Amino acid sequence: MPDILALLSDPFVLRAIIAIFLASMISATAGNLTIFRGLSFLIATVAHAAMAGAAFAIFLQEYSLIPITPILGASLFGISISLFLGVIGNRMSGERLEAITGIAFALSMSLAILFISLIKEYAVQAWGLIMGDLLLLTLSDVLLMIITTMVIVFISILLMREFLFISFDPEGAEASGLKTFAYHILMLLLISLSVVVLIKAVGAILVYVIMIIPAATANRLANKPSSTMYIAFIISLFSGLFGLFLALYVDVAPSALIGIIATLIYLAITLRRS
Amino acid sequence: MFEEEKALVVEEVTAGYNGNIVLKDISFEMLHPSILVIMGPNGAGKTTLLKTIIGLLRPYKGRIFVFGHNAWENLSKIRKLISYVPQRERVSESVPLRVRDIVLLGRMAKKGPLSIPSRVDIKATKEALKKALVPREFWDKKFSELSGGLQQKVLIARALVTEPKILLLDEPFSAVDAPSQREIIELLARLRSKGVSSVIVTHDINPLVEYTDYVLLLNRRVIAFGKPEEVLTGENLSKAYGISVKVLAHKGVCYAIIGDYHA
Repeated sequence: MPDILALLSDPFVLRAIIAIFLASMISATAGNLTIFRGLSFLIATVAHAAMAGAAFAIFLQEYSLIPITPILGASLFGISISLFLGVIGNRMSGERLEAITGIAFALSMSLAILFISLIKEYAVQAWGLIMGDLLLLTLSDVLLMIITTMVIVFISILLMREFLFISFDPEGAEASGLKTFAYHILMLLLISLSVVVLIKAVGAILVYVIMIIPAATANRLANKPSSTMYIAFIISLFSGLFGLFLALYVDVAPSALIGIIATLIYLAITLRRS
Repeated sequence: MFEEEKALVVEEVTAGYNGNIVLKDISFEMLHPSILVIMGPNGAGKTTLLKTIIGLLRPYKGRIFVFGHNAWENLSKIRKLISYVPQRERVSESVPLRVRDIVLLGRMAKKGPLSIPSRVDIKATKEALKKALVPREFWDKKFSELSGGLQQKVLIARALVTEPKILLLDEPFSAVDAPSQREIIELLARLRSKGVSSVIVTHDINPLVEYTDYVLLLNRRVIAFGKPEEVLTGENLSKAYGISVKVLAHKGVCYAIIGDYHA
């Protein structure tokens, strides 16, 4: 059995642990907002748009066209698709919004594949976007994550009451004088920013797992928003750390194990409750 | 002798969505405190009218006065005077909120973001729940786990928590069991005697008619407005619901037999 202390002193492992901790905070706040607002499908769309944006940036770099970093490309694509859906979806019925989100999802996915297939030399970098590089994070990756996580958590908690009200009853909230459109857009910004931040660590596919599953599980257990936040945090942290350590022993991608563990927890709790 | 105060004056209001006119030249007024029932077939524009009164929808033409204040020029003022009770089906159940939290949300929304609930707010929350007849044992329950009748009462409590002078209720009796329906109607009558008017959109006036001061029969325009016995005539109902409707007369009031459906 490898020495735990030796593992913990490895800077890459240490950074991965910090990233899991931050991801759990995002999962507890922005992840819960997504569930409250019924936007889980949006996560997948934004994730793939962000992946397309990052791949596009890598492609531009490869041909020395415009020097933008993958994270900037990811943010631009991810945030603009969610704002686009948010603005057109604001006055739309649920079914129509879902259809348009589905189309946007298909388009982002196609663009992502298009740009990735155009990338030749840096294909590994693109693969990292899909799988995540939890064990390859650099110091600046982690610093960027810390700053964005703090912003997301701070705003989410500060305005949680307003976010809850517009999620629960948008018309009632507006009739009470809340600026619902502004809060709606702010929520979308927070959610899409979270997705972009998490992509680097866990990859585009597993962003969905980290954002949705802990919060959805917590939602089944808790009867108030603050409890859903604690529970989602604990589930994310547990699946993250457990998945990471398991990955160190069996040498597979940690994000895959994290996803499997989180899903098993969800299933166990859902089956017990039903 | 008190001067007669007008809770609501609607003057030639034309309103709709995205340029499509739903309501045309709506005019009526109600004294305070009283109970007004707005009825009409599906698609008559009942909800649109409520949304226009509360300022969720800007009328294309016409004016609305709430206690003498021009609604669109004093939105924040009239939102203090009016509370809105949305259709229960339009409220999301995927937010894990407790009953007491929902009522407090209504209170805090009018105080603005970043404000912290004070003792007075907590107290007002409890009073509103009591007033709306939500039994204490449900205050810490999740909203989504309550029966339809209780959910409706919670939404009424949320509307009452800001101590409004007018309640606007959109289909408050849909999917509500008969005893709760009775309780809600008696509650609205009691509120009227304490100086709170109600504007109720419903497709079924039957259980409510004896408490109703005014009926507005609507089908995109005003078919009739006035006291129930003046408005609820066979002729008016046929005009509103179409010629095929069956009309039943009882104690001087006619009822349209339209079945219990709603879009």
